[in-house]
Amino acid sequence: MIRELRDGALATAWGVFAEIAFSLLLGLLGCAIFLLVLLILG
Amino acid sequence: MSKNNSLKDMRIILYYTGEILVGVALLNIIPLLTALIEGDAASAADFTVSLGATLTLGAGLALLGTGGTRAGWKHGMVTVAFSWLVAMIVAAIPHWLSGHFGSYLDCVFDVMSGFTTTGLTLVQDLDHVSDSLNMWRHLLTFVGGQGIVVLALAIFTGEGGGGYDFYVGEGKDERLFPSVLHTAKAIWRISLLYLVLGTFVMWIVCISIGLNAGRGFLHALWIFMSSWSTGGFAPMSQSILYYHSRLFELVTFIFFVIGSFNFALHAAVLKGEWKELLRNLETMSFGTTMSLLSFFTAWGLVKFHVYPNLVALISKGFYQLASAHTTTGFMTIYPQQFVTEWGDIAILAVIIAMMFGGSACSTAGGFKGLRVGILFKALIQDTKRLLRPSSSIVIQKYHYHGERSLGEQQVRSAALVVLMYMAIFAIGALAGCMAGYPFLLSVFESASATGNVGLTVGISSPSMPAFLKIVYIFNMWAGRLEFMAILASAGFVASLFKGDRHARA
Amino acid sequence: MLGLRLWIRRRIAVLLFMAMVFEVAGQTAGKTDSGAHPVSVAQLIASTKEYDGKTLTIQGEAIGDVMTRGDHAWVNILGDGVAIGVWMTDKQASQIHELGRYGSTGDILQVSGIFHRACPDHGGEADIHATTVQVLHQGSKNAIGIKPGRLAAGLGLCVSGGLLALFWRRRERKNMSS
Repeated sequence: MIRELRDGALATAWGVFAEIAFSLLLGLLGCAIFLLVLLILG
Repeated sequence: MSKNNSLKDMRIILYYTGEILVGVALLNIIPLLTALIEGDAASAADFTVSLGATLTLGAGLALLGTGGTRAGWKHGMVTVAFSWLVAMIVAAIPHWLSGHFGSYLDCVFDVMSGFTTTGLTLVQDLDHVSDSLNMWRHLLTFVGGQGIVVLALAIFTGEGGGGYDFYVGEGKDERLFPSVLHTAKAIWRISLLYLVLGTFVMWIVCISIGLNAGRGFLHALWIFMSSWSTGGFAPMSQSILYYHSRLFELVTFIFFVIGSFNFALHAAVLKGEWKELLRNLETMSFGTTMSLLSFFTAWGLVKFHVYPNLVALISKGFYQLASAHTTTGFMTIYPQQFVTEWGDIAILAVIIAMMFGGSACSTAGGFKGLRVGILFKALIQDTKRLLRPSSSIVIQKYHYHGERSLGEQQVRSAALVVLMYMAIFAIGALAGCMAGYPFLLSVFESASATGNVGLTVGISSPSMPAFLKIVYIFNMWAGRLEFMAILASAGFVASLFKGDRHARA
Repeated sequence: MLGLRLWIRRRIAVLLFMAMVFEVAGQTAGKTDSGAHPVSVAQLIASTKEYDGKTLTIQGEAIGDVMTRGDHAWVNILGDGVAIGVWMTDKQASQIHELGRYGSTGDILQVSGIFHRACPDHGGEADIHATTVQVLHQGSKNAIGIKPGRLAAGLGLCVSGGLLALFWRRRERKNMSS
């Protein structure tokens, strides 16, 4: 019972971490594209 | 259909509408408490009126109607469409009593914008609005993101079957669990988990950028609610520009991107299936369109030398684009700057982003990434068909919580919804032009209302013509409910009149 | 008659909007260099390109918060319904005593400084870097009184709503058990 709860909480924590990391990844991708365009045109 | 039958139908619809209104009435307790804690008696009185009036109407309607398990698909759809309209009217009471709105229509516009997580606002002198009214506005947007009907379901519906029609009517169609009650509760659990976490993080950020602990907490809560539900309301008239902080922008970016994800995706990832993030058709679709549109936005802004350096380009250009694509509507520039500074390429990229929108079964608006992805896969499938002998069967696969093959029915319904979006978007743009606004601005503002985004070029203001306000309210409502509930309601109303004629004949 | 009036009102709304966005720019471009005449914040935001890099003066109410960042602070100034961020020193910010919020009118400031359309130091924001900050009028707290009629109506509605809700739940319980 306690072990199940702990596993669930751990999975949730990793899940939150993964979602934050993924959104940051999308942000970085966007920034990289902006940089690329700046280098090409600027 | 006999007259008797339609009366029965109406009583069922009244019952569930009443139930939902009681849910909305109970929400008034939160701003009421805010006012009481701050010793703001005037606002507390306003919320007492709102609470009492909504409760009276809600319980009255429930008493007039009949509940039970006889609710079917039709009732679910019509109840959702109808209850959103009634809720819009009663939830505007605190707005009206606050004295910060020019007319009741303006109040209603603001509420619909909140419920649909749009973020366009007609409030006047927002910078002097009470904390309790801001609490109410942001609460409406937070609850609207999860769905007011989903809230009522979570509060009132007992165990047992049924109720999915209500849920689907509100533009959510993923069954996270076999029972609708479990699904509604799971959606709320995910949102509340993030609410606690997000508010805490935002609070620290608020304090670090110079707000005091008390105001910092309120701003953190409101901005989080607004980010998570991809809403776009903010407590100050300058939106995110008020805070003058790149860190603040980064953190809101993270929360509105996560908020634009599908609840089915959240459920899977929080259970430990984080690989779904990298394979899901919808996240892939979102990532692809966002990258492409980033390219065009950057091209437009760099070409016209709008911003002096990379940090500015990202803080203004990319932030606005991401805010548009997730249908949030937070702004770090002034509405007029879109018009006078940005140039056509970047504006067009933002308009397209607003049309695409976030994920299905999320708090976001627009076509939704899932539909964009499905239509793209269908295009590939048809191209393959053209190139192969007519006798061969082409099966198109895609990943969406497991490998699936593309079905004709899916493509058909995705295409129809996208078509409907385009239609009301065109109506909104036409209405803007008829009111005398320039073409590109009319298109921008219509895309923003239809996609439940909330970015503005300045058209949405108290001084805009009343008919345009009504058109935008309709577009926000229809866009949020994804048409099904509205088409069903139109059919129901038509059948009422037909029934009458038959009864008379 | 009414239709005509409505039509005229709409026209005016549209014209105002257009003026705000496009026309003010041309008309006001000449006035920018004189630091003495304050520029309206709304005008400034409507024609950012014309004022870019110029030294100018604005007047308006300090709203919300003084956000201190190191030895400087951000203060947002509201003039003609539009607010703009002013970057000032800690010392300049320390003159401000009342900030505009619900129930209070903030100090009215006169700020002279350099306007940036897209400030390179602050992520491309349209802002003003203040050289002088002066308090023109002290702000004040405005007590917002409770309207007794409203409270009475609210309490009455709550009682009626509560009673109706009670009847409704009782009926449901009866239906359930039968």
